[in-house]
Amino acid sequence: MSYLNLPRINFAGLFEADVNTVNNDVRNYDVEVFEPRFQTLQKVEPDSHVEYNGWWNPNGSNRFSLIDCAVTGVVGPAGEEVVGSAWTLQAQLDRTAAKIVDLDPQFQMASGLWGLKIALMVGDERLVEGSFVPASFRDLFFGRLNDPAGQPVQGSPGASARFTGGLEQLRWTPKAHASPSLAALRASADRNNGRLSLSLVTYGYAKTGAKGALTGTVIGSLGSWLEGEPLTFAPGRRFSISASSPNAPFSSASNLGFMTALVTDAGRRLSVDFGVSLPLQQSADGGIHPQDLGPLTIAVAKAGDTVSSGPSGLSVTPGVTEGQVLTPGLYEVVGVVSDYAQEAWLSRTGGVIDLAVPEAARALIADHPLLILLNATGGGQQVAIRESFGGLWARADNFIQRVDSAPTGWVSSTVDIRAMRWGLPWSDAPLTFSIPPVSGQGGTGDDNEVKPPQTDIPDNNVPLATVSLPNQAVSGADGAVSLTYWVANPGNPRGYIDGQVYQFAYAPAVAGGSPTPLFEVIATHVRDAFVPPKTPSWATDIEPVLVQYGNLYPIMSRGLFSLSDFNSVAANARLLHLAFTLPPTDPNYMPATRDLSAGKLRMIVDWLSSYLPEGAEHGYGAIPPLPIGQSLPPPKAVAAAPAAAVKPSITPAAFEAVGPGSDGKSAAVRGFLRNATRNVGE
Amino acid sequence: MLKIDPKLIEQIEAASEPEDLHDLVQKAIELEHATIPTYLAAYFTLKPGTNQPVAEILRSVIVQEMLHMAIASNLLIALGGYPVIDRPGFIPKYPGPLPMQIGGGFDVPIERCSVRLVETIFMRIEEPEAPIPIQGLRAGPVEYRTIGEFYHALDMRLKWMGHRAFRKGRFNEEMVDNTWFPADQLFRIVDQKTASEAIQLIVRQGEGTRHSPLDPEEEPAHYYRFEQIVKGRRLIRDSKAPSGFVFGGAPIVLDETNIWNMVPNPLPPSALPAGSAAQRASMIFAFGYTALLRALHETFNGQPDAIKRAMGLMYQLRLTAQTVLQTPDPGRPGASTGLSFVYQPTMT
Repeated sequence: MSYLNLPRINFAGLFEADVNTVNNDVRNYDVEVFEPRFQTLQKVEPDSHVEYNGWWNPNGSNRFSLIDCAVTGVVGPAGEEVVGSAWTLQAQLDRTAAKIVDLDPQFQMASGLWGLKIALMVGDERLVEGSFVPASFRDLFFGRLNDPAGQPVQGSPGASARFTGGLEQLRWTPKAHASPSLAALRASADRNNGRLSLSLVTYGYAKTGAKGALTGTVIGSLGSWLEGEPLTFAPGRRFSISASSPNAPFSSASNLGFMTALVTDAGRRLSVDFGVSLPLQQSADGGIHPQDLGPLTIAVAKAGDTVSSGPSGLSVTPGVTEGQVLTPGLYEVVGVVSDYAQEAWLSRTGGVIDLAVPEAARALIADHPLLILLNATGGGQQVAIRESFGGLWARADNFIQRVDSAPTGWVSSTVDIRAMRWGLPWSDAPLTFSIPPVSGQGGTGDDNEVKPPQTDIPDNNVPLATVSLPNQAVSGADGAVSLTYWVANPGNPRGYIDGQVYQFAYAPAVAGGSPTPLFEVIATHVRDAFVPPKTPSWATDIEPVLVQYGNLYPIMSRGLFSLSDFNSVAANARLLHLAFTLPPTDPNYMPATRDLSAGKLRMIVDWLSSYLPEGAEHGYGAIPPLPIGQSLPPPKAVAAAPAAAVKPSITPAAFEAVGPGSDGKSAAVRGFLRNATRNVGE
Repeated sequence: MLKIDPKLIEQIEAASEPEDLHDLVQKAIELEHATIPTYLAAYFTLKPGTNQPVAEILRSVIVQEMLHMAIASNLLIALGGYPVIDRPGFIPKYPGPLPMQIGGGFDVPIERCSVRLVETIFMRIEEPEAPIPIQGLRAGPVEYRTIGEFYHALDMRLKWMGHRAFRKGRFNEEMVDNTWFPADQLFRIVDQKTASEAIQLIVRQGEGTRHSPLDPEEEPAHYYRFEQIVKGRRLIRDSKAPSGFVFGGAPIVLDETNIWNMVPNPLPPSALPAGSAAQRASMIFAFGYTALLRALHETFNGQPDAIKRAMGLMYQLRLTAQTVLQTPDPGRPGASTGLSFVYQPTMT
């Protein structure tokens, strides 16, 4: 089941993310107020005021590369398989670099990887190659890293996140047969849609640093994927922080982040994934290892949780809570890990450990909460983080959405959500959905800003009248919910930037349940309805669209050609035609941000066609058809008002972890936190 | 002039089956490719947005060399062979001789753009068998067999073989995407006639004809195109001049202040300080170049559509070249990290 299953191939190395930052500020989309200085580096004044301009990497190409990624451990069903040091993980052997982009400047909490093609190699020879199904990172954990002096690293450099996705279109070479683990993975893929599961955890990313510019550390695992499973996360047992953790919403009181575990082999094996959970420490030489918290005891609580069903829905009462100090009689130990506080451990394991479950724990493990325990100061074991209350959780798979609206009528899109209970499908799970007010995101919103772009930061989640979202749903016997929502033309509510970003909150409707992580929302970019004109003209139709991209991606005009100049666009028509007609999974797709509607793409392609040389390929290629609106189906009958979803509190520690940094992600998250704080207050 | 080993021409003339020509056409692919890195390096060292006339001359020659490489690859496919592009030995060692050259040949470097480089290396690579003297240039005697003669011999031998040469051709695997090259230059080679047209195009674009410095598209052949940079003026028609042409058109000035200061024949990434920004940038560039060769290999081995990926890689190479050249050379203050055209199969 996902990368947590065996066999598992672990790897570690570096990643380089040459992200573009002019688009970190939504106000830079406004072509009316755009100034040339917005394509230059930000300036920090001596009095620490900041002129943000094009932020910290205005020349970014959105390139994402893997560097020096070595296979560090291969765990087969029968234990470790020794493969020597010659196995590496490579990307893009025969294509341009993968791209890393956000959904929208007003939703930067889930950057996505596009066009990534992976090869597992021995020396210069390929073992297996596959294409990564585009996926966005989740489990974004600010404040995960401490600097060599033990102080939290603020902003993006201190943050960590995980990308999980399918690996498809696999091509195995005969060389792969020699490895029992690869043979087992191949057999698994052959039975399961030709697909494997790949997960990458990133941390320690910095503009400049010991590892190089724009570089961070990546660890990860390649494992099997089973038919019917989600693509973007591992199903299983979910650990959740307490809603009232002093480090909420990012981590527990002991600073462990949300994490996942998997019980297999009829309760005999437990795999625990600390990959994006254990707090990290940077050493003086730049290496990063988990902080030494003392021995980590993985245990099962003897006290169960109580789930009861009443007139107002489900409610849960935990038997054990985070921070509680337990005497040995209150839990059964599954295993103890003590050697984890080293860089080599994290590299070798990808943060995942596999434990044989002792007899006594096996009797409980099916329906009692899993615990991570640490030595308590006064003796006994303290709960550092525990499984979600009642073993209940739910998570959306395709939670980042891009939808074209139609000129008239409604268009639907569906999100697949899994509800789980003790790691198994949770049938009849009640889920609740809402559209909270969202404002002030995707600019700086900070007091220290000087000379900002002279335009407003648009509100999100409006208009509400053009969205039809059920406020509740119940899972089927397989624990799955197909959430279908409908959108009509939002009518350009943001003015200078296309469409609108809607964030849908979702959670199990369980009173007293564990909190849903703050960034676990469904984010959808609904593009404005657009009907391509019969004969598009440069000045009225094409230029306004391309000038905006030219403004936001100065690397195009600095390194290749100008997108705002008629002659250079016409002269490069065939290259642009190719890029605009590729499928979005192609790394050369334009625009890199993948935010143009089919209507606008078709308009550009129509215009470019008249500048193509004789004999060139014409046509719309992979551009989707224009959406056709339908009438809105009647809403389903609503049973009863669902219990309110539980959200983690927004603590001062969270603002401290994000810090005052001037990188786009930090600014966006500050906006998100402020907004969430306002909503809690309402 | 490219003085090539007469034995190669003897081998062409001795070939009785198309298979006997496969290695020779593979060598032609390697030769057509071999000039591209040296031209590309010079082109990339011109800072973007500057030196437009020189950049355009270099770019236009590079594009035609790419066309010639594609034509030679299509020819090999038409003869039933398989172009081999993705292997370490495909990239020549720079500085070093071009493929097929014999003793007395000269070393081709990777260098920043300069008039001297264009005059002493680029024009020498492209020198026709009998250059037309324009404004005092004199022709030297022909001492060795030339690349023009190589192609001529190939053309003759295919005529001699006739249909037999193409009976194992996999014509549908040829790359004939006319998005990138017009149909009268890039077309499917299916028989002796189309093969002959393709071969003649390569020779004429490179050398011009014996009577005119212009190629079939009325553009100066490569040799004369480069000579414009040396003479500092465009080649134009002049009925009063003995050759009918004179370097008397618009000035072409190489602005040396807008050329990156790259030292000749840069070190490969493996020889740069471990973990340095220079090594990282250089490795990404070389890896990208290798990826381009891979994409081309796939293009000419059953996936002609992979040319689209190759096109993306070519543009990416232009961007990454600028990143490399903007990175200081750790060993030489004031100099750029260099562009290294080495086979870099992994980012490791």
